[in-house]
Amino acid sequence: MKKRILSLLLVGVMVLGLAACSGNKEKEETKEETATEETKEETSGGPQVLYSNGGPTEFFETPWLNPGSYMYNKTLYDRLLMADSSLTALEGEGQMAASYTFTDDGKTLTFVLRDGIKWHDGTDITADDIKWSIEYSLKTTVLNSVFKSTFMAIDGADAYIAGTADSISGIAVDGKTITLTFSKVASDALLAFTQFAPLPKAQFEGVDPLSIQQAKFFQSPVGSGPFKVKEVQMNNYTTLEANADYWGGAANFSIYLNPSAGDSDANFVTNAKAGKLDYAYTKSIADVKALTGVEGINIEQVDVRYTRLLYVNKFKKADGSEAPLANPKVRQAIKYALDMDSILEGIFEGAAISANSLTPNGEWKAEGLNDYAYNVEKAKALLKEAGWDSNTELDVVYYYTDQATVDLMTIIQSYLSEVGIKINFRLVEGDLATILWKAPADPVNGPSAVDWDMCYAANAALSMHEYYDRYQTGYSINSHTPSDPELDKLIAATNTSTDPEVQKEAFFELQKYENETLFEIPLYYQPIFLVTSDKITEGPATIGNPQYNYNWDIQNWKLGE
Amino acid sequence: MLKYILKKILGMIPMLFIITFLIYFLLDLTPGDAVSHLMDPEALARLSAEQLEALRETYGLNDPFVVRYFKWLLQLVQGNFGYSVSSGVPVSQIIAESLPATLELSGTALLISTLLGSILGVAGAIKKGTIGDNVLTVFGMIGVSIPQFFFGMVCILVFALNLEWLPVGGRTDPSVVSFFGRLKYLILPASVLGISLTAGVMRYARTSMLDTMNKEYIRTARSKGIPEWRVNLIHGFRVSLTPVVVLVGFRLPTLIAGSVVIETVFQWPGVGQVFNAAVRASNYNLVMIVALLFVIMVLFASTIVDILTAILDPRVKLDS
Repeated sequence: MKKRILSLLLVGVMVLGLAACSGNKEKEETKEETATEETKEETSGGPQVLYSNGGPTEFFETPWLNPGSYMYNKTLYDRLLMADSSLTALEGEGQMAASYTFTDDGKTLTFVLRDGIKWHDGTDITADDIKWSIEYSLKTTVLNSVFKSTFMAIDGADAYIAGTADSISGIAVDGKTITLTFSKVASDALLAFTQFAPLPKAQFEGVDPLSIQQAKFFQSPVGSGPFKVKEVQMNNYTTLEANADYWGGAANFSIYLNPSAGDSDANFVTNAKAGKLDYAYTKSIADVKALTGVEGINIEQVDVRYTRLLYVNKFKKADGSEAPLANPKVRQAIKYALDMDSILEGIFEGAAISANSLTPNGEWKAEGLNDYAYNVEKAKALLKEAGWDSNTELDVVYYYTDQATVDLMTIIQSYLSEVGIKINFRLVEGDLATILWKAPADPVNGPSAVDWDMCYAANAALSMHEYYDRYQTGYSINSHTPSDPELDKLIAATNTSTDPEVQKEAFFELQKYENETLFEIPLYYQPIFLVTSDKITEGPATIGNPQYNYNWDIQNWKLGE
Repeated sequence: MLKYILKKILGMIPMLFIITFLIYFLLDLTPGDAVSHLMDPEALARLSAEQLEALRETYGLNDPFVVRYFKWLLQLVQGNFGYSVSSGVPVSQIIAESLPATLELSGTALLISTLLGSILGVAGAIKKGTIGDNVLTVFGMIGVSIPQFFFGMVCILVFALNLEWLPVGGRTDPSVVSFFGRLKYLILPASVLGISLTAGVMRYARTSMLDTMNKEYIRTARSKGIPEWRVNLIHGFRVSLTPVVVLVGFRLPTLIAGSVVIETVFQWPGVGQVFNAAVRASNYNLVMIVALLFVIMVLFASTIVDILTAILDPRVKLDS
């Protein structure tokens, strides 16, 4: 009897548990039914769905750090200006800005906002929102370096950051007009405003700038772009619907985002093959190989500013001894000793391109650079000239955890040993800011504040200046390059004008110096692969870097079955 | 019985304290902290020492390890689970959103493995030495040997991509309104998880049934002329279930904690994925609460197993 009562009790508990679970499900189902009915009722967004990835797993990332890495950041927010596929600001009208002017001396930038533009919650987008976004973003820790250097060039930004001024004096607001006055040349000003997404001031009342990413706003952001958030099921799916009030017209499809963290999507291939990925990008050659030849899938290689390199620590060691790689001949020997074409063919099966400069091939690349074609004898001769001690062991660090990196390090170790250079490589984890980039107290003479000789890393640059500015004397993250007046002069020359043609000439000269002295050792350029499905019958007119924002005109795309 | 349960619950408290302390300590030993995971190293490097200090202070990371642990414990005792360092969302909300998915997946997998494993195991024992028994044994060995992720990928390839019968992953999508619509998302992950567990249950049930069938009372039952099916099912099956129940009972919490592989392969938005991401991000609050949840489930399961064992096996008395 006692056992039966107990059995009944246990069964009761189980039934209650199941009821609780199913109750939850019913609630969810009711919600889903309502959502579906709403979808049917609404005309905006239409019945067609564009599948993509990068959906949030726990929060929407702010659009201020990686402005276009995520599909949601590209579609939820408008920028003041609009770029073409090469990320050059379009003349005339912008996105939020109906018009803009930039004076020839690069000191005054004026935007006039469009009439009637609204945030997704229906409130007006005002010039005050723009001013607040610039000021507030400067106090956060999630601001892209191109935005930061541009905003810091605005007159009065220093005083504002130092806390001696309540606002930035160089930002003036008059009705729909915002005028920025720069105290120095902001060489990336137009580029920055093609990527920087203003946010609604009213949504951030009382939010500490240091904790902006943890704001409730980023659970379901209120944007200004052609799509707005419809439903968020963190780690499950997110749907975006067309913004019926969008100034550029309303899309006739909605967007479904599969969740994935960062730009590594473990389910990229399965989702693409299952028809659940119509627009996405990948850096993985394994993904590309798996999808090549699949019916209905199109793959396009896009050359982007992404360079893998070896940072070279040329500062004296803590014990006062000379850095083993201080002599440019040793660095040149390393470059000659590596058969990069064979290495890249072996590891990336031709999907990466050997690098002779940080600057990838294209219009910003100088002509006539030395490719340092594989030449063991030349490498040995250079080492002999430099008086290289073959007992020296170089410490090489890296922070990637993928197998390809370990393979690459092993191969580099093997090639260098052939010319008498010993290297030991190790993975570094934890406080990488200190381990890798801590600048020495004395940026001219050192000694070094880091303990590595070479660091294998990547440089993904929005702007050309992002590639080179860090090598300047005293730059906050310059842990590797001691003061070099010639290098400082060449870098400074790239920042003296906002005219792209003038900048190009300066970068060409800088690249020649880079190519000769190898103040870092560029290894290879890695393209991005844009994967689209045949469902997109009318997509962007030109393909640009999918990690950034350009005039892809997504609200006017056409989808087929 | 009540006394036994109370004793068990009280015994859990020091155990929970020790386990949570150990987890917190181990987490503290991992390189970096929440701040170093919140942004890429180069963005972090651009912060001034004061900004970095302020950021760490915001997340309470400047205190010594023991102080941080007891602060966390104090909050927990007051019913405050804290907030996710990554998103600022209450941990309780994250758990409430992800746990039902994991329970749904694990519960279904457990049901599949228990039913299939028990039936096949008992059948194998009854038909010991036959071709059927040998086939089942071989399948059992294969089932134990194949990694779950591989089995999952093969199933996706066959049933989702080639035959297009079932979705490749996820728990549901916005167009799904019915229970059966949702069910199709559950079938593949639950079956893969369930089938990979079946082999273990089956071998356990077979051994247990064989053991039971050699007992005196079974021979007595047979000698009394009771039909063979009745001897097998009523007298043998019931008693042989006892160790199977123990196995199954202990499997549920480990299944929940260990379903991260299947959740990843099938994009199932459960607590396993949350835990995985939280550990990678040094998201202390979230890791601690999920770990605590796992520990409580294991301890709770052991109590339930004891109770069920007493119900199924007349020889077991809890109060003694």
